[in-house]
Amino acid sequence: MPPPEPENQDLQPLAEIDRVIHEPARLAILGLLVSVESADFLFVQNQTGLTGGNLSSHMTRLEEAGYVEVTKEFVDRIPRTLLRATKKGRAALRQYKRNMQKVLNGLPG
Amino acid sequence: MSVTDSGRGDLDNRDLQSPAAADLQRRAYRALNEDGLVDFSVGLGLSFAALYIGLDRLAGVDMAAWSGFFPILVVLVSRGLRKRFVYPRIGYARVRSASPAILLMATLTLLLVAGLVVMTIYARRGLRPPAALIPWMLRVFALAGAWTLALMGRRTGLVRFNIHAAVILVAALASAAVRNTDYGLLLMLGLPGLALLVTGLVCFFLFLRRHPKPISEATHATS
Repeated sequence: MPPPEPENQDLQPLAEIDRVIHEPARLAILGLLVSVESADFLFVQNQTGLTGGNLSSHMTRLEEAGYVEVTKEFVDRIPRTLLRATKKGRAALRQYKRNMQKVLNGLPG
Repeated sequence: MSVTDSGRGDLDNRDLQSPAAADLQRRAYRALNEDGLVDFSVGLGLSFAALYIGLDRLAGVDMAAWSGFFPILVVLVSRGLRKRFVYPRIGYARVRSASPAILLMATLTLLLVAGLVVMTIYARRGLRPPAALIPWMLRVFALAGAWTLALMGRRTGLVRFNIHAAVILVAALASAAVRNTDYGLLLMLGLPGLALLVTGLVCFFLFLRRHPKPISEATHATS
């Protein structure tokens, strides 16, 4: 069942915030992956400061949402896991930015 | 490597222009260039060029037959160090498609390397290149290095790249003041070459100290 429409139309942008991206760790991961072509697990871990387990679970959420994809390749017979933002992920991040800007512009103070 | 429909290169330009995206990108580029290996490689390239001038033009040792191996050696050393020491410590990232300026520089550098390789092939058959060609090739090589470093400085926000570019330009100007072309070239290439080589090595050792060998790497090596 879809969530009810907010009665106050000013709150509409708030309801459109993508909760998958809104989580700070996932926002950092997606933001990083959008700014590079692709990166391996260790690079993303170093840049975001997340632990391996944390990064793994957030990656699973982002992958399930179709925002990132994981590919494996072998370099000199050593496996390398490459993470990359998908077209859908980039579009979602753009939309998230627009929605957040709307929300923040509407805040008092 | 798998090829996927990841939307490579389709990032909206507005996103790249936004300060936040640019900052994230700069941070990623900076992390990839903190190892000092770019400085080291350019320094090694310039030092080899200075060695060429010193031996071939001043000491009279025919080096034309070896010059083509220098850039190959620089690339091999740099790639080897990156693979062995950098990627296991900070990870690997492929940067977004380069700007037209960087692509132009890459093309120019490739043409110069190709020129050196052709020169090597002919020199091995006993044909020396025209004497006037070498100084011009080396001048272009040094200026290409300065320009590349300035672009790197802009892209990463690391001030040392801009300082290196300035050192190369100052050395090029100083060399123009020297009447003997060969000594001028030696000065132009040797001075910034050594400066970059030393800075690159210092940055590399600092990088190794800041990023100790991860435990997983040691485990991997023994497995």
